[in-house]
Amino acid sequence: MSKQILIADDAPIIRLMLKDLITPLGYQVIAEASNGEEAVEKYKEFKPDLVTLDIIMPQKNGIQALAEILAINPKAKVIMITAIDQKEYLTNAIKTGASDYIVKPFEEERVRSVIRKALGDL
Amino acid sequence: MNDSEQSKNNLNKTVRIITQMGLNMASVLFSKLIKTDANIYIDKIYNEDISIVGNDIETNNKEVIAAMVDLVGDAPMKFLFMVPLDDALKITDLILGKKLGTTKNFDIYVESSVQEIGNIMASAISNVFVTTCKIKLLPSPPVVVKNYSSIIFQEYTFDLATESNEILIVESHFDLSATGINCILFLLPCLESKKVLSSIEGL
Repeated sequence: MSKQILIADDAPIIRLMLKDLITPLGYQVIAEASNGEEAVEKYKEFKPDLVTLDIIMPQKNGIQALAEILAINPKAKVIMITAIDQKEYLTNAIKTGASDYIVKPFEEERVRSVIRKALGDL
Repeated sequence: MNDSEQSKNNLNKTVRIITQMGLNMASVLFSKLIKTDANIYIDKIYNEDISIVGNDIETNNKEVIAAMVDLVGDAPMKFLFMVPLDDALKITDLILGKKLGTTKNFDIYVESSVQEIGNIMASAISNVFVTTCKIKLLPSPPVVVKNYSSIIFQEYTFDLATESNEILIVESHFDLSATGINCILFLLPCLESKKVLSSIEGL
């Protein structure tokens, strides 16, 4: 069975672009979320192998969602995808427990390699 | 020159320098996103009476899609990106790597193209302010609306009117190679940020 990924981003076009990048790698995008709260709910429901989390999202931001997902499963693999290229903020995400981060607009090859690495396929 | 004029000049200079640095970064990121060379430059920085604000925007008679982002932190600002509806369709094609003219109708992907441009550019500007001025500044999630530009502008700046009778406006335009796409970007420092920014020296 292929490994499953949850994509959380408030912009449908980014979810589409990520899905188009991830699917050819042989992974299944099991669910999508448009805000942090939905991301946590979908994580509980689907228990995916990996989550990509945008940071700036309505209702609950990506850092809050990351903390809640890790509270559910401390071994959860979460990659932050964000346009905020601020050292303090990104360090905080990694300290909170994110596996890695990708700065938007993303390079396709970096997305592929970060996801494959996080899933132990690189 | 009296103290008030000196302070205003210092504020305008600081805002111009840092915003242009932010726009240079935003140009690079925007170009990457739409896979087309883009150059964003400051057209003008001016103080405008709140009662007439938005009356002379270039795209006034056109319906536009706008992304509104509040930059929250030590120097709060309002960020507004607007693109005419027909040009938003072209931008969506560019982001998705499709031939220009493929997207014909306004849909969630067109809406979120503008949303994501707002997110990426507002983040680029806030990143530069944070690095250069050693302040805290983060973008809020973008809100996307479709309406006439003057209406959007007036509604978005409404709460600034409670702070002051005039607002400082940084108006920027886009040069987008040969695509014919016309976009406009406004950065509006709130009253609180004027004090912070005008005290920054050494730029």
